[in-house]
Amino acid sequence: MKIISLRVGYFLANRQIRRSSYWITALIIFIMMVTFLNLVVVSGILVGLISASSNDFRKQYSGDVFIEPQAEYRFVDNSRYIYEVASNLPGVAAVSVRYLEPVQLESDYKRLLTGNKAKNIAATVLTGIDPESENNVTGLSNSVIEGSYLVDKDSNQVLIGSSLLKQYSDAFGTNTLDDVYVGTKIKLTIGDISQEVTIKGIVKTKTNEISGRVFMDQKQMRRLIDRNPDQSNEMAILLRSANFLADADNVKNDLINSKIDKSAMVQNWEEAQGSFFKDLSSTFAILGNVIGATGLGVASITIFIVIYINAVSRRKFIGILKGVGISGSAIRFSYLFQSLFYAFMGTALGLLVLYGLLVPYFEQNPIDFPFSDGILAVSTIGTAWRVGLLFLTTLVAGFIPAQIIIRKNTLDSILGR
Amino acid sequence: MLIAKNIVKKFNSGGLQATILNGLDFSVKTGEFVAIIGRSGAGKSTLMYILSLLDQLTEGQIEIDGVDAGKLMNQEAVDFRLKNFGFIFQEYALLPELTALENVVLPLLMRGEKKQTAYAMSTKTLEEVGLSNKLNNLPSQLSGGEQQRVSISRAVAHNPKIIFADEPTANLDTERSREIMDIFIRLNKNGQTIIMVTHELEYANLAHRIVELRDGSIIRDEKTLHSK
Repeated sequence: MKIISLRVGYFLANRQIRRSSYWITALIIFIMMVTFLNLVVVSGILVGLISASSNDFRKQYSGDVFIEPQAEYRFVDNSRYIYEVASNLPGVAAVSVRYLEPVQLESDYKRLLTGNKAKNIAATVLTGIDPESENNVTGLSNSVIEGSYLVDKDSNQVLIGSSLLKQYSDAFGTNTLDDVYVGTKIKLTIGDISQEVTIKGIVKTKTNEISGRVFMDQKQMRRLIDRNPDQSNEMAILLRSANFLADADNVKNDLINSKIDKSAMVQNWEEAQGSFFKDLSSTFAILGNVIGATGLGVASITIFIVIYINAVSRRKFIGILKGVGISGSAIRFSYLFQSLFYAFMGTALGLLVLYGLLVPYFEQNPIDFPFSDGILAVSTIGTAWRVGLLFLTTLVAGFIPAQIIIRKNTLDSILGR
Repeated sequence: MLIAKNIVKKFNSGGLQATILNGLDFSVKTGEFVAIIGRSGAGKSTLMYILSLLDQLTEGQIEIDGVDAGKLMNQEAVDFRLKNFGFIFQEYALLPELTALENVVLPLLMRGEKKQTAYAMSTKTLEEVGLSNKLNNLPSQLSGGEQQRVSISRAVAHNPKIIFADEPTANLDTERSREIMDIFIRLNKNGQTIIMVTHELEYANLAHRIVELRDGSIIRDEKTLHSK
């Protein structure tokens, strides 16, 4: 009997959809599509902001595997050995070793200060890099927005992060140098050592670890502060292919198993980012889901109202159907099929708009946020879940009003009592 | 075939109880064509709704071919109607989004007929009532008389034991009404049992028997000239 009811339900639903007003059908499908997009896109953009920031952190700073000193150590000891091991591991494309030291930057230090004018100073981290290796790992040269990138022979020349320059970071407080451009000479002070250097280029990214630092050739920096080449502070490792975290974990484990110095803390890119991005991503995902759930609620109420009005206005015909022997379950199925049709069409169109239009659009035109270039983060599993949720909600929203009308007395329905 | 005993129907309205059918006894034999007549409010439609299991009786018993049909509830009653009854409503009661053919096909599909068989049976029935050229018309594209003929086709397509017709000519002009009555007479001649409610004596006289109700009681139950 159930199969017959299904068959008759489909027969009725098919004709009702085909012969109802095209405008109303189009409107319902449009509402379903917007609801689906609301579910996916809002949370996708919110998560995308963090994902983009996280991706930037990985691409521009940490690489796929990142080494830094364990908490109780100041340096990654035996750095050259670790570099050799890492460079020779299968799958490793490039390794950059960095030396860090807190530094004070000062401009206008040759002028006499008059009145209440404060010193033109900023504090940051001086980062010694091998320009070629660093560029291979993080593509730092691509972030140079003024001037040019460092080369091996450069002496007393630095790249400065845009966050340290007033003209690029008005909104971000006082730790900036005023009136400093490419070619300006500034003084670096590390403890009691001072060195005059020239700004060769300005780097700007949305990763603060890059745009908030000063970069110098590592040989000159080590000479300046008398640092042993075996005492680095960071190593960023780029893999040839790291589509999955597991790829990074393989290299990480290989390094750990190579008995490198105990001072080295080896992390995959996710661990290197700490819990900040993860927590922020989860929070934004929750926020997106709350907004999406609100949209889903509105859509389910819309479907409920549409089906309810449809069922109420057809109450007499539902009575007649029962009068001529059509079972309640067949009538129920007919409304469920209609709900499914609306959900299917809305979702299909939504997927088309999502993957055919929105995702490519946001990839080409990321949203310009201060801390990242926001993309639309859409996962297949997440989308599938939302499709399922939308179908379920629509089914329930379609079932309830149909059930309310079907349960009414047949004769009352026919006679409109 | 149909035996109704001591049928009582009471309605509660605004705290007051009104008796619509007052303990009447009624029976119909197989192949009989019975017309129920009476003034408005006499209880004739209520009697038909109860006999066709669309409404429930307050007291009494309805036996159809040995089945205590009056006690069937909800889905059982729907199934029983589907198997045994055809129903013709005063206002045709066709589904507006189904074509003439599909309106007739629907109950057959519900009875489990194969799609091809259901369409063949429906086409044949519609052809018999002169609608072979209107099979794919929607009800809105049919005249009142044509819609009623579709309604009759839907009622008879599955060869029911009894056809209930509720004022089938009420919305039709004389010529169309006559056509509908001719169809009933033809169906009846082929052995179809028909119970028809009407307020038009002219058409009631075409039945075998006239049962007249007044105030919920049978005041006349007599054979007509067409009686077998």
